[in-house]
Amino acid sequence: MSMDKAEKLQHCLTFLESLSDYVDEELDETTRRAIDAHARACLGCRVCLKTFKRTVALLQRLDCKPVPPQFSLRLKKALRDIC
Amino acid sequence: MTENPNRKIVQDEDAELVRAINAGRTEDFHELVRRYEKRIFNFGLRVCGNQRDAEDIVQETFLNVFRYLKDFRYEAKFKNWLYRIAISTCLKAKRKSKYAPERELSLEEFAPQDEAAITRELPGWASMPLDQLLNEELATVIKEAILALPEKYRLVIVLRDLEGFSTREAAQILNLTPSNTKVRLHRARLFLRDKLKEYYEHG
Repeated sequence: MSMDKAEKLQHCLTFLESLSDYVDEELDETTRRAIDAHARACLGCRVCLKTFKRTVALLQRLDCKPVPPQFSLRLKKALRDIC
Repeated sequence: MTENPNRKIVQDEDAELVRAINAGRTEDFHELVRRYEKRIFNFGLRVCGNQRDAEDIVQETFLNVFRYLKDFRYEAKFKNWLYRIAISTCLKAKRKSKYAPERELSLEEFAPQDEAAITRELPGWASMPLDQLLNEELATVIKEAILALPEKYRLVIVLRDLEGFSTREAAQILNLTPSNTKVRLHRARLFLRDKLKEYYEHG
């Protein structure tokens, strides 16, 4: 791998490493701006950022299943026996 | 037990209920169950992947909570302590169920694509409104992807992104440092992103 490519890969890996802090708004302003600047300059990382943000948003929107009523009744009975 | 006057007091919406139960009002335990039954059931589903194991985890967790409630020290939120017990119960259930093999996830395996391989700046799934995107099929894909994660990553991402705990709380629950928790969370999110990419690229 050439020096340029190696350096670029390192920049991209540094970018990649910061994505959770970026999405969770835990970066200082200087680092945040550096991330934004790299995303503007690097198509691969720009796509990565957008799909990463989307992934986290989807996870945080996953719904909950209801507790099966029959199980809930069994649980109440089991706990009534000991409470 | 004499209370330590120097111990940190934590704001906890469950503290009053727990004190009442520990003071003898054991019938109030059903209110604790009512508050958390659905959350622990879904936590069990997300970590173990099947209803039967999730039900076992709920029952075992609440039995253990009742058994050990007198030892709760009010130094962390009750909810955090409850999840510690639920995780301990999950790990015991692991011996009976099939789990994703343990391995380390490295940052390099998630490195961004070479620009030459990118055909669209913004894949459809990253730009559609969330409400339109998140259907039953996608929810299943995400849940299966979570189950494909090695356990140490799965626990962190479930606690942080699905159960809504902060990094500090998740670290406390899992007995990890916040730094370690953040690293595991990040690797887990990258893994899931790759699974979603695969799903949308290959169907």
